[in-house]
Amino acid sequence: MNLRLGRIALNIAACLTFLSIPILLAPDANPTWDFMVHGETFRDLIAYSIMIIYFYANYFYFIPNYFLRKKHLPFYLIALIALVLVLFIPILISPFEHHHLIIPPELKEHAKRMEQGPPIFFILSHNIFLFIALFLYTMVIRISNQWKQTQKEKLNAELAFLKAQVNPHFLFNTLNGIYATALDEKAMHSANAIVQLSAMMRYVMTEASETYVSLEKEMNYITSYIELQKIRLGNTVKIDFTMTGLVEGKKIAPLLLIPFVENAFKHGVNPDYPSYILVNILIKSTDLEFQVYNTINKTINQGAAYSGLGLNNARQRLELLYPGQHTLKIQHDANDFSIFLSLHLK
Amino acid sequence: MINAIAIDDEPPALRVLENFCNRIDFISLQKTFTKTEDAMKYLEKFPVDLIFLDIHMPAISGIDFYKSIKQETMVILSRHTVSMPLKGLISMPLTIC
Repeated sequence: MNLRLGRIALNIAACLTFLSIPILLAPDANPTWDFMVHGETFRDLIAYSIMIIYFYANYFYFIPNYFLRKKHLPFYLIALIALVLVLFIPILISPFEHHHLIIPPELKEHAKRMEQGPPIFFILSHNIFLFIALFLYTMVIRISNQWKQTQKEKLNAELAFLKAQVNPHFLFNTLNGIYATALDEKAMHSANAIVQLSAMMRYVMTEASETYVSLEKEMNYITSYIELQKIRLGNTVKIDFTMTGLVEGKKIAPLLLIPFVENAFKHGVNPDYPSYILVNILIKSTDLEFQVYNTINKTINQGAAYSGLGLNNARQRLELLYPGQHTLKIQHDANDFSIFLSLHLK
Repeated sequence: MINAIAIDDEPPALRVLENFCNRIDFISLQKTFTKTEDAMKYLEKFPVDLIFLDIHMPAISGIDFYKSIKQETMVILSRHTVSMPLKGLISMPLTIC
């Protein structure tokens, strides 16, 4: 934030310095504000102001929207129009004054040329050069910034790609290795747990991006999750899990139900108190009835425990994916937490 | 008795197979291979009844390997990824149902 403010201040300072150039270089610089009426200085001031406006417009709008999108013709046309504006608006606002001089007759011929003044191109040339310089300057800084940005984004993309590619392979290969070792050692419970974990992670990584998956896979995932939680929690909690009905040939949005189960395990277990978790799944033709109940136990970090973020996400997904196809009831009091969901499957 | 060999580029998969085959009394897993060339040489000398064959291997695909051997044997193809849902393949890692 401070960096941003500093940048803005720097830009304003640069603009003011730039605008003060015509004043400081005015032909008859004097300390009063008379220069405002002095034609040359006034015209320059207007020209410089237009240049600054064009400078920022070019940097923030014209270069990214035209030049970098290969729309070269409109881009250069706009530059040309801006140049014309820079040159002629000042003259329109404050036209050249004619100097009325008393001229001896023998110098009349010479004076006529003087009265015409220097050719108009000569007067305007310094503004043209300044304009071109500013134009090139915006191009250079914008393009170099763009290049830095793309470089950075490319690096981030590569990193994300590597993270996504390397880790799963390493993870699954390692899990398979541990599974084989567990079997060698005849550690059947360990072997099963590892396979279940591996299957769960595979499911999340390969299937979770689909819109709908087979109900069987989702049910396997929930079963595995509960099995692994049983290993983790041992006899600190009593868990009842039932699943009835046929899962074959039905589809469901992936990971739709698991947040409710996770929620029960997150808040329902405390070894110091009797804890109970119930998960019931009943499938009747294309309807799924899902019930989760857990006891709520006083925990020290109660504030953090009831953020409800996971449940809110689950509710939002239900509303998005099954509008009018589901009913969700959540009952919550001091000691119990239960949810009832009925869902019309596709 | 079914004489079998197993070919897979990942050793843990072979160890799992070995473990399961040991529990089945009518399958005798003679040898396991991570190198397909060794497996080919072995097959020339000792014909088997059954090959456990991984589909995705770095040197040669399981299907091409099967095409390249001369003898007629039964084969059980296996794969390691879920992302290729082909019917009739067994998925690694193996589990007991």
